Amino acid sequence: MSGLDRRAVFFAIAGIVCLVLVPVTPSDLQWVGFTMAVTFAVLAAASLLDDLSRSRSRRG
Amino acid sequence: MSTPLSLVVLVVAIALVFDFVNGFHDAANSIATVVATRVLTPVQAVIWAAFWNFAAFLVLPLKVANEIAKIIDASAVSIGLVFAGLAGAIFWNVLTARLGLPSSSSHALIGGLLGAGLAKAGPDVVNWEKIKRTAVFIVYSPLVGLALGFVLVVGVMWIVHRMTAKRKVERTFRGLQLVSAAAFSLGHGANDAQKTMGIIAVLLIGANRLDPGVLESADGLPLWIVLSCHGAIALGTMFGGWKIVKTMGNKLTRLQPMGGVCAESAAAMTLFFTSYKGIPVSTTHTITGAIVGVGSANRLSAVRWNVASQVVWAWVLTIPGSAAVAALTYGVVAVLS
Repeated sequence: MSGLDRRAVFFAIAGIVCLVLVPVTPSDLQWVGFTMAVTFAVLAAASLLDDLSRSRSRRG
Repeated sequence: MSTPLSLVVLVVAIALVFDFVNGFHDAANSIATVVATRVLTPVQAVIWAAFWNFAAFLVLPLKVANEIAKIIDASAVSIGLVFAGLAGAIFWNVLTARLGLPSSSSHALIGGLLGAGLAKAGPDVVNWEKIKRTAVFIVYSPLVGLALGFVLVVGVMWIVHRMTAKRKVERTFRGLQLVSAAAFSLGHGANDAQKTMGIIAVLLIGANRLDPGVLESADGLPLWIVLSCHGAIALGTMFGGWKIVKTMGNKLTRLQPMGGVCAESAAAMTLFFTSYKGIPVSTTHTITGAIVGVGSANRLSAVRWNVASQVVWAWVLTIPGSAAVAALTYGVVAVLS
């Protein structure tokens, strides 16, 4: 597994942690958990795409 | 019946010493980058950070102080309870420092109050909603700092890599370090000094020397409490900075201005948000999260994972540990009094 793959996994885990915390977060602050989960999901996807494009350019 | 003034003054003094030590420990977070990159001399840097620590009360509301003061029901608060809470937090910090275990002064303080409150009057006097709010942000605050740090540094790198005048870029970031260090010190002063304000407020309410109604407004605390807490943390930062100056040359030689600006800005934004919402968080954990975010933009192996894992252990251990010590201390206080 390359470094950037690991970064995507790391961000995905951070997003899951935020999502798991949402039900125990006071209702007025639950949006923080949702926003963080979405942010980390986007960062995980972006890291994965970045890794794929770098792998392709290395092969090409 | 009012508690003797001498006892009240003694416990207020202990709270201010706790605040001073907090500033002393956290000085490195505020001035490390500006000193390492020689933007400011060590003397200028500690004065800069201490000034913004102190000035925080002019900028951010006192919601964190109110939050801390409401953790334990005012009817159950006594000078013995507050003393036990402070003693629990201080003892836990000293113990973990000696054993080389991670800790957080902020969480130790909350755990101390919680433990002393439980020992005195059981779970009914604890405001569990406030504890829950604090507990979830133990995890959220470093993660918010991490995400903001990553996004900021990637955005800045994207803008900067197109620029050809590298010297101008470096000069710009050296200047921006002053702003980001000031912003972080402001956030640190606001969130951490207010924790001690909350402790002093709850102590005075318990001793019948302050009307509980002051906690209903975001700026209701007496000015002397506000100024003394900001003064203590600012002094702690100044003295802590002197200690750091000695080790700075060896430990922090490879700091880059751009990464420092992004990490401090991300942490400052997180602290502004939490202070504005009245959520007590660990400033050290927040800046650690932001530094991990900035480091992971290069490669994941650039992150010092042993430091990151220490933060996770601190999440788990600090509140239960300090609560247990405070509960024991309260038991001793109750037997002796």
